[in-house]
Amino acid sequence: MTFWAAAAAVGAILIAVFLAGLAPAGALLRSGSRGSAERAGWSLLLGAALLALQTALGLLFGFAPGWIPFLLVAVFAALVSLAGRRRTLDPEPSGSSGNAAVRWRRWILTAAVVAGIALYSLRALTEPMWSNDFLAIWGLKGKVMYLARTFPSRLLPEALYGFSHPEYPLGLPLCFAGLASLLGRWDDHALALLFPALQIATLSVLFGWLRRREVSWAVAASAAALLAWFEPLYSGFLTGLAEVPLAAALLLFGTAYSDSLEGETRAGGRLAAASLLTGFLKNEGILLAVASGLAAALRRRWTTAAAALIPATAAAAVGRLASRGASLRDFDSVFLGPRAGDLPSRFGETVRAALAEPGLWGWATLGCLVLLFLAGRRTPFADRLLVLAGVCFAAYLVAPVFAVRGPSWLVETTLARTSAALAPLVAGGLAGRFRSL
Amino acid sequence: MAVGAAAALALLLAWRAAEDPVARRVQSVAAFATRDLAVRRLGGSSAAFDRRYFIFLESVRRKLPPRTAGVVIATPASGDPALYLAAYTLAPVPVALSPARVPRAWLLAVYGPGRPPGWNVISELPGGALLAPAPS
Repeated sequence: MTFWAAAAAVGAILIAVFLAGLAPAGALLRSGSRGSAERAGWSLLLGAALLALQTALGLLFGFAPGWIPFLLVAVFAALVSLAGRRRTLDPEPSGSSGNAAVRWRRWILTAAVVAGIALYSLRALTEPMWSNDFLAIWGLKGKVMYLARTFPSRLLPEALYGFSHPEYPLGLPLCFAGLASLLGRWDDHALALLFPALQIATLSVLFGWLRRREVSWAVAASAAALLAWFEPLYSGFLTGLAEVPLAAALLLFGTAYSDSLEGETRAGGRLAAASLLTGFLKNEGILLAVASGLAAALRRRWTTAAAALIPATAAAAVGRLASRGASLRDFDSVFLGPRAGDLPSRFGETVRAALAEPGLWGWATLGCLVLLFLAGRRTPFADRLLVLAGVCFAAYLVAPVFAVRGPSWLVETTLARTSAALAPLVAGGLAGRFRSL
Repeated sequence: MAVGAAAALALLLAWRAAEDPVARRVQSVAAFATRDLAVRRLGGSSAAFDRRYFIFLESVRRKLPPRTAGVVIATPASGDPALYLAAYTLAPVPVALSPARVPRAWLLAVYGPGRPPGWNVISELPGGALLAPAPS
């Protein structure tokens, strides 16, 4: 099969995945044109979660994942969603499309977003997914689950396959295996189309959420355009890895968390769904969900705390079962015990390595972000996203202290890409601070 | 200040994007899109460290008997890329790279001219051979 035929088939499958997520997304978000982009983004991500779910059920109960199980799961999810659905409409925005200058600005910003998506699609689809971590971790597990119809921990001896990080959550590999089951073959080139689709979903949620929060069209679209062009996240290297889906899930989590703290209808359900997604994608997602849940509990916001904490914790427990209790491979708790005295020097090494990471381009970019922050106004719903991103970044700075292969190694190999996955949260937080523009 | 910072950020992102070899990517897609998936991987980044090694691995994959318990790859190429590419290409069959001892019932794939004693050649392959333990 040529790449074009396989990519067209995966494109059609992704449309089916999007359609499968429509009903659950409709149950979690209000109707109305202002939130339609946000609902569309949620639809793709929830559809992908249903796809991963049908694959996991197939592996657990011994049936072949494919179209029929996927349709059954999608219909069941739609029925549950429709049963719990309360139709409430967002107020419609005033209908003026503006003068010629405004229309031109809209065209330019729309073209910038489309160009960013096109550039990332080209990077993602130039060749079959190729990064070491795709071959050793995410793609390997997806391929094993699709071809052997079993969980990797049942087939790959841990003594030989420690490099595949058996302790990592299986959400992305299950999604790969699910897509392959619908395609009918393992095609690691065409499957890469999932990543531009996730980029589109992320941009949709970002734009839609900002618009629902009454941020102007120009500011919301500018944030989406800048994020679409953010190559440190949307790169060929990260295509096939968990950062792009995690970035999407972190945005869902952050926006739902902020909405939930303000007592918005249905935000608790969204937060629970996002917590589950982040928990099944990466350990960093579990960390964020637990930290946010504890922060909400300290403020006695019990519903928010439960919606943030319980699903991610459940995902972590399921992950541990699936990996047969594999422990974190890159970290050593000896630095909390007998070698605690090494912590200050190891933290110093971490900070030095982190400061050397960004380079001229990185520092200039960070400088622009600081200026944007200072130019904005304190806006609680948006500032929460920045706090969440800050908490994650602080955790990424502390984690290398416990790295088995040394702090510098972990900083050099992971800090830039894990931090890049915070970009949608930062974009949403910064743009929200310009609501009054 | 906000507009200036946003414009500067846009320029920085555009500058970074401009460093990406877009034209070469387009040419690569156009050249490889109609080729077999394995040929596309062969021409890509993951096999760049030793393209003949990938040809060998792909040949091993195609010659593996059904229900193979595992494959030991004996290769002078060491390091993570050689291991990851072998593990991924041959998945779901378990793979080990030059271990001290070959697990029972596993096959041996030798990358290079050597043919160790005590093993029968199942198949000669481009760049090496696939071998099974000789009956004792």
